[in-house]
Amino acid sequence: MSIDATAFVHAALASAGITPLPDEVAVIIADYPKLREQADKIYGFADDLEPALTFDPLDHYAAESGN
Amino acid sequence: MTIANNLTIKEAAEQLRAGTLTSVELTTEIVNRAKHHNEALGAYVEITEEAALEQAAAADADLKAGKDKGLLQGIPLAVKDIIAMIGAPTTANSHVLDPEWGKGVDAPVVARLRDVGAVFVGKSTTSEFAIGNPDESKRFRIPHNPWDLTRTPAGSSSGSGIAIAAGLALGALGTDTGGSVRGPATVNGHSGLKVTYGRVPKSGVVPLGYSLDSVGPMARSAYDCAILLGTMAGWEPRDPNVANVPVDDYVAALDGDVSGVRIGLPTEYFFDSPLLDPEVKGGVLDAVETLVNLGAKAEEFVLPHAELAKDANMLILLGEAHSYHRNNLTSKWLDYGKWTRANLVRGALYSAADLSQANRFRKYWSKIVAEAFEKYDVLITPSAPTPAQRPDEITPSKRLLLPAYTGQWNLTGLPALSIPTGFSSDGLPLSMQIIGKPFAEATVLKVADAFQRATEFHVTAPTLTSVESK
Repeated sequence: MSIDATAFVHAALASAGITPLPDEVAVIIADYPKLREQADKIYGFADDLEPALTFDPLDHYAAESGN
Repeated sequence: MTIANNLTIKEAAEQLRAGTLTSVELTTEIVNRAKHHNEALGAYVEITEEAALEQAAAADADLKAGKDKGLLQGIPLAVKDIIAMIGAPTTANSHVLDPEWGKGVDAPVVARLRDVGAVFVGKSTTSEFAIGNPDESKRFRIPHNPWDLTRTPAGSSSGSGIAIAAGLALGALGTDTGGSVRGPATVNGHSGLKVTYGRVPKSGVVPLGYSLDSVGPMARSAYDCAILLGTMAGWEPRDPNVANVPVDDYVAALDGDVSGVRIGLPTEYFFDSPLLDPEVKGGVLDAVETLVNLGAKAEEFVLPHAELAKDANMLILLGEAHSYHRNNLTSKWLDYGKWTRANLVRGALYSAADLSQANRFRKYWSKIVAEAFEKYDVLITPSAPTPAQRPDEITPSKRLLLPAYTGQWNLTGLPALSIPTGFSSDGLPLSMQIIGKPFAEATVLKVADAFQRATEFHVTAPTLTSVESK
């Protein structure tokens, strides 16, 4: 996937309300392709359903809720 | 009197009960040593001398009166400065943390140690918010490796690592989210245990990665870590992250017998990187041979996707850390150290889908690892690819390109203990990592203790005169 790291980093920082110094922004831009590459590889292994992220509605209730 | 700078908790406890040493004598020596070397080593943010001596006197009085609270009574400990402790502020080595944070309160893990009569030497240096390398422009002391002052003591539990190595405490608390107990233990030449997620309460600790953080013991030996863990571990009703799992008698399990213990060596990524120092690798393999000679069985196998697991851990860590720091990053950017903000900003560069996918991978990889543990009792890997490095070798940008062997076990929540295996040709400590099943700290400590009964690397200390002369 080709990305415009400069455009993305500027947009992400603006969205997050963060204002690094210009030389810091340059480093973030230089590092971003490697970060993106590492994140993209994590998409390579799973099928549509498994593993699923789960949620337990009983988390904050007694062992069995209900009426 | 002269107290060796490689004294262990076990030895000190024996001497306190034999009457050949008092806690006041021990604490006075430790505190004086800490004060004398703190400028050069940067182990402590604050040394709580007066309180420590009061605690030591109380420990001595109790022992004399027959009130024996256990092996930690009268033992000087360091507390990482992201953990709340009565008597000293918590700074997280930062200008950003509210000075009132944790004031007048002991984190539950500290309260447990206080209840058994431990002595607190002070608050030990941490990487800022447990994530940022030291920034010379900020007011905090820069920590240095006592084996070579030009090298880092690693982080984030830097001060605790230095204190143990240089004999400025006999035990310490660290925290570990991606390697921050094991890294300092590795490069400072002693033992450090990342516990199972939920084994030890972590309330009263400034968070880094909510689903990854753990508080762990650091000490010279696995035996000493077992002593500490026995007090630190267990249910805490005020902490939603603590598991209600019975606490083993970790010390009683240390019988030196590893006959039949099945050791798995995951070769892919952990042992085959061109960036893995040959001396590090050799040290691990020699240590495994020692364990095999003691009766264990070892076998190589392939555990796939370990590099992805390292990256998934970091992605989750950065996402969780960024959520904690988001408001302050927008309003106090320059108050953070330059390396801290360089790390934390990365959390803004991932998408919500990235975090979701990393957590799906987490479930997937945890299952693969659990399948490996059907065949093995422990896994052994190097703790780090190299011995201690220089600060300019571990900038956030450079670390993106380096292998790392610790975050995988935070991702899976498993216990992992780093212990020394020898020394490099430069005289720097080498280390291996022993990983166990969930809540199997007793097995991990037992394997390490068996190795340490046959070797002396863990009780080899740097000479402090070499520190003074630099």
